[in-house]
Amino acid sequence: MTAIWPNDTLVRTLRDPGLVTGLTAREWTELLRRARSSMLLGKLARLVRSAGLTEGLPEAARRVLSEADIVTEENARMLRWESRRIERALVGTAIRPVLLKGGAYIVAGLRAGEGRLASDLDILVPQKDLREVEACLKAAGWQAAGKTDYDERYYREWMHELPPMRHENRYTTVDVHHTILPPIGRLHPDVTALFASAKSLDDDRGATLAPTDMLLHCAVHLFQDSDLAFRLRDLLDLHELMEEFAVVDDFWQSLATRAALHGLERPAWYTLYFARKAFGTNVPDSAMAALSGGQPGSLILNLMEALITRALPPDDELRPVAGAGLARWLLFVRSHWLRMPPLMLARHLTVKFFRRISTKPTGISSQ
Amino acid sequence: MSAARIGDLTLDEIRTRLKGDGVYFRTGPYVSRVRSDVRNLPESMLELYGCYPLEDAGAIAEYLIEVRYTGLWRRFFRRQIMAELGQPTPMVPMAEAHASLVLEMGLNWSLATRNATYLVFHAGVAEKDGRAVIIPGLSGQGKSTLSAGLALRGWRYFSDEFGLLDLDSLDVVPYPRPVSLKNESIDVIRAFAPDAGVTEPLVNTHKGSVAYVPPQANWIERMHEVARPGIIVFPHYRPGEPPLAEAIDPPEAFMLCTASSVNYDRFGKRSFDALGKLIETTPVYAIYYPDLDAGIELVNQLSDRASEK
Repeated sequence: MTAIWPNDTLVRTLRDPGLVTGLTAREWTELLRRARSSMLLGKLARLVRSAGLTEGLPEAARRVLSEADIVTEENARMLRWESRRIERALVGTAIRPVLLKGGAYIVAGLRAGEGRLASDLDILVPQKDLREVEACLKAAGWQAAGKTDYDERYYREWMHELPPMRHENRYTTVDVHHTILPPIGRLHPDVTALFASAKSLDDDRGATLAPTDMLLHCAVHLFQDSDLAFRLRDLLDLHELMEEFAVVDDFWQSLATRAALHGLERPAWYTLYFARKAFGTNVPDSAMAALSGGQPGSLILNLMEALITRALPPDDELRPVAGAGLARWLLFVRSHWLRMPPLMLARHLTVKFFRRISTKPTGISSQ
Repeated sequence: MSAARIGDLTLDEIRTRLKGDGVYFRTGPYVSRVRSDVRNLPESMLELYGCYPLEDAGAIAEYLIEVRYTGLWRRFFRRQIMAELGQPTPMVPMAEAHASLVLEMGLNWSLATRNATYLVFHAGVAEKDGRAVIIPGLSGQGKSTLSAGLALRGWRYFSDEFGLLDLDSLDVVPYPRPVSLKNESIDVIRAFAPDAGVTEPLVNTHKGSVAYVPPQANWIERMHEVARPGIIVFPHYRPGEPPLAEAIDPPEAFMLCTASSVNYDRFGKRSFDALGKLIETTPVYAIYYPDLDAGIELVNQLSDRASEK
């Protein structure tokens, strides 16, 4: 039996936590290592706990998973607090930032946020408010962390976000977006619609995108905007979002309508297809049919499937998968191809290449 | 303990394991796994970890470290190596001759950044009569030398670098790794305990000269035995001055301990409660001593006094 997912050990265990009862110590070491490298330890811990399996685990496994609970809880606590601090920084303005990605899942209390690690907060603000937001954040202690003029231009002109802003004392980071995909790319989601449908959380916790938009953002982030390498976590996020949102009757139809509105049917179709394949998401066939406008031709689908199944999970040294490195490289090229017009891409990669070979390694030695 | 020890293997056997599935060993609560193809690492493993029981792959390894050459070129010319931990580190490539230091630094970094089970202090720890002395301090302030000195004069060695405190029970947990000595401390300990097996120093490291004291067999054998907190002692080496011990008030002691903790911010309120309870029940001192013997004498006196209460 091939080790490619869905037969991959980590994928199968996330799907069916009961599998942990049969693991040898060596398999445990590798499973925990892979989960940690994919930032999925917290999720694994939560799934094992929810299945009532914690008591029967070997002591070391129990401890590692318990540590993951503690670390993700600390992380969530920090993010919730930082989210308030951002709001405070914007007091006096009419700007209500919309939380995105992991920060949104955590602050909104979604299942996708449980056991999830998020290193920084992503917020969405209207483009016209960018300067004001940046000024308010600076006044509250966040500094733009752009490294060079080229970086600054890269972010401001070509990408969809300011350079990351890092707080001078707390070292926490905020990414300020004005849309969800780079403006120079091929797809242009309807940002006005995103804001119009944004939902306020109670208790003044802020605002998030509407469920369909949240799902589409995650989908687009994974299948359009990333190189997919080692991003199993994002696919699990998508699975958990769908499981939570799909309890509403017309969710799938709304999703299809929304995807069409934003021109994001392809990433949406991939989401349903691959999440179902990996985690058995309860996606009705009618939902796939409603998104048929996004279905790729069978040649492309076969290629993407071969690449994504190899590239997404971390390497498994007990059951190595051939071609994973090549798959990741091909998807890396694809991601940049999708992001930028070809000439710009060539220039960007060249600049980055020359900068990398001329920079001396720096680092501090510590204990 | 019935397992064979790392020291029972030949160098070739160690080398084969390092190049293959790895060498597994336990330090207190944790099993670590080392892998490497660096030429002189087998000698380092033997020298530093010879007394440790050999765990096999039947143990779940939580801390994984690989020591590798930094590139094909660096495998042969001006050989450079680095520790790979599966997480970002600030460490830079180092000379092949410093393999022991790379290994120890890598293990230190992993523990310090990842541990979320215990409240971890930058501290040397030793135990006598069921009570632990915790000696916090930054690198170079004397905690390694003092905890090594105590261990070589009748105390049981827990660690020279990391004090592990159970947040619920307040038990102090051993985490014995080779004692690391720097610069002047090397000669001090050599003179203090000529039979301690201090290794040949690594020279010209970024920390100066570094040598190790491999843990003694009985420290390893008893590494599952925890202790209650006895006293906390902040060491100040003051050559030429008379020995002196000063009690530190609880509020100041609390702040000093927070500053000495590596992961205090990790547990939220639990950290605050645990540290508060620790300070309430454990006398805290600053000690000033002109030499190692005087320092040990002070610790013994303070510890005896505390256990009389």
